[in-house]
Amino acid sequence: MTTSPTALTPRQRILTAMRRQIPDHVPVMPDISNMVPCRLLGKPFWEIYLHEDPPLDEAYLQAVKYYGIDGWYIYDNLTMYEAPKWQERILQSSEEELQVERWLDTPFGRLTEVVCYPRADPPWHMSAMIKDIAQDFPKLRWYLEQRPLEDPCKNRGKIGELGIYGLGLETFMGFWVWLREGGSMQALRDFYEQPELMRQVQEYYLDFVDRMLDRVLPCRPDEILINGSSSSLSLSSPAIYRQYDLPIIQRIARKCRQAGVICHQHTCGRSRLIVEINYHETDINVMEPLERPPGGDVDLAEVKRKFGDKFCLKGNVNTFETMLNGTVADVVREARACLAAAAAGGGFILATGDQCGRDTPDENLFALVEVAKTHGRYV
Amino acid sequence: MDATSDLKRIAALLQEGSITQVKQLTQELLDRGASPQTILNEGLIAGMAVVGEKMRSGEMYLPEVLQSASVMKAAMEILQPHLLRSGVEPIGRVVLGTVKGDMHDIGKNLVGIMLRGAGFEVIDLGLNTPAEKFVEAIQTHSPAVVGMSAMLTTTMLQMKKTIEAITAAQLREKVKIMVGGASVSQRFADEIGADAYARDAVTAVERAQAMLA
Repeated sequence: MTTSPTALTPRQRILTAMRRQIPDHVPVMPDISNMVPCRLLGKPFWEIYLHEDPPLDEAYLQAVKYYGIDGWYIYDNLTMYEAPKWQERILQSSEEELQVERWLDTPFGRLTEVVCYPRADPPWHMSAMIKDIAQDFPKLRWYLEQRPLEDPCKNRGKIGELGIYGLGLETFMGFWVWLREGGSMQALRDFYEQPELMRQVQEYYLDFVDRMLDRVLPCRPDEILINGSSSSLSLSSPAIYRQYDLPIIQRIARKCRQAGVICHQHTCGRSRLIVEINYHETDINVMEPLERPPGGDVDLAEVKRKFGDKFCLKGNVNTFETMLNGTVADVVREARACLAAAAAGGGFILATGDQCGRDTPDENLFALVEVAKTHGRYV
Repeated sequence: MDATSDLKRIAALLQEGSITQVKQLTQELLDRGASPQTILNEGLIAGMAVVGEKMRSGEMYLPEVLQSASVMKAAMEILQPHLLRSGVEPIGRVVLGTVKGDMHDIGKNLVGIMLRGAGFEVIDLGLNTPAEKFVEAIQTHSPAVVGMSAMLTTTMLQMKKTIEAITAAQLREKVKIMVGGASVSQRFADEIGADAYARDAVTAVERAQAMLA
């Protein structure tokens, strides 16, 4: 192991930890990628998510500076990248929410979705793109093939040395839950009820991911982030993970290794078995957020002991019990326990066990940062 | 094979998610004169009880539970006319919904699956359910239990508003109210005057059964 002798920039600090080396202190990256930055702005959330005033990434960067955290730019998602632009109209508008219909005409017919933008919560799909797999999938495939991606890393300069720049890709479950009318429950039923169609969709997505990586890896983002929230074993199963997600994750991680780019997987909720599978069967470098009970099933000390020789670990102060509802003393206690469990020898990033809720108190986020900078110091 | 063995086989096949075989065996048992209530209680409900326990212990996962629920639903389509003819009633009626402003329905759906699996009739109001819709459902369906789910700390406050609306409609004495969801706790349930808090789907069934006793 090498130790960095002097103070590092947040980007250098994170990359050092992700390479399982020892930075100046443990990086601190609570997941505040959505709700907290919007709350800080004090505007209806639709101003950010729908009207992009300001765009979410800019809101996040303001929050990074406000809290003094090590930043994590994850707003360029290769799966959900929006090009060409959809047309939209407001269906309903009230003090509480906006309902927006969006559509895109393709040579195979119209793709439609309806999105609800609540005043003080992130948007959600009231109706998603794939209503009928056989009819709608050709339209989606056409849409996915239109994206230009001339400069896939064009937003890298926005984060600069404030943190790392990642490009996101969804796991297959993430991809399918995002698209599927009826959400996660229907997405799961599809695996049992329409296995042949799902096999074809998976085959296409694997090819799509492959081609995307060939286009983006030469621009060398700091990491490829595999978004696997929907692959959590709180929702999915080991059998589905192995059949539908693992082949794609293996492909992504292998290509990242060949290109010398860090590969990072997010899977919240129950994920202990996924950590173990990935350890033995993939080239993943970073696993997060390693959620503990009651939402998850990870014992941070145990995964550090068993899998820390391969993975940089990122986690896992509980978002509900501690960050949202706990006191500063609770945050300090749990954050220090995380450091005790996983900081030794580097390869650890202090973070939250999933995304922080909107009303997470500022003082709790400041306390988390302070613990990393004081008790997480290596030199 | 005798009926007892077949009932055990139904319970086992239900856990494995084998729709065709469970449907076939259910029909065979009916044809051989078995009581529909026995098939329901000792085959399907017994099988779902094991599914619930395996889910709680981490041995079974949500997709597998969903598949078992599909098996139960398919078998119930065969059994239902016979149960009606025999005058067999569900053990209780539950109105379920995710509260207004909340679009998370996995937990609520799982509770619905396990309640049906235990022999309850479930009226599912879906997600983003305003207080007045709960009130209307109580007036229409006269449930024994109302279950509310909320994932978000912002939306859990809707549970309090819903209980207030139920009280204002003078229906509070007629129903037991159960709450659950990631952001909800026993303390919160006590604060808003709910009758029960369930931290997971299996516990929700136990609480509903206890409230009917």
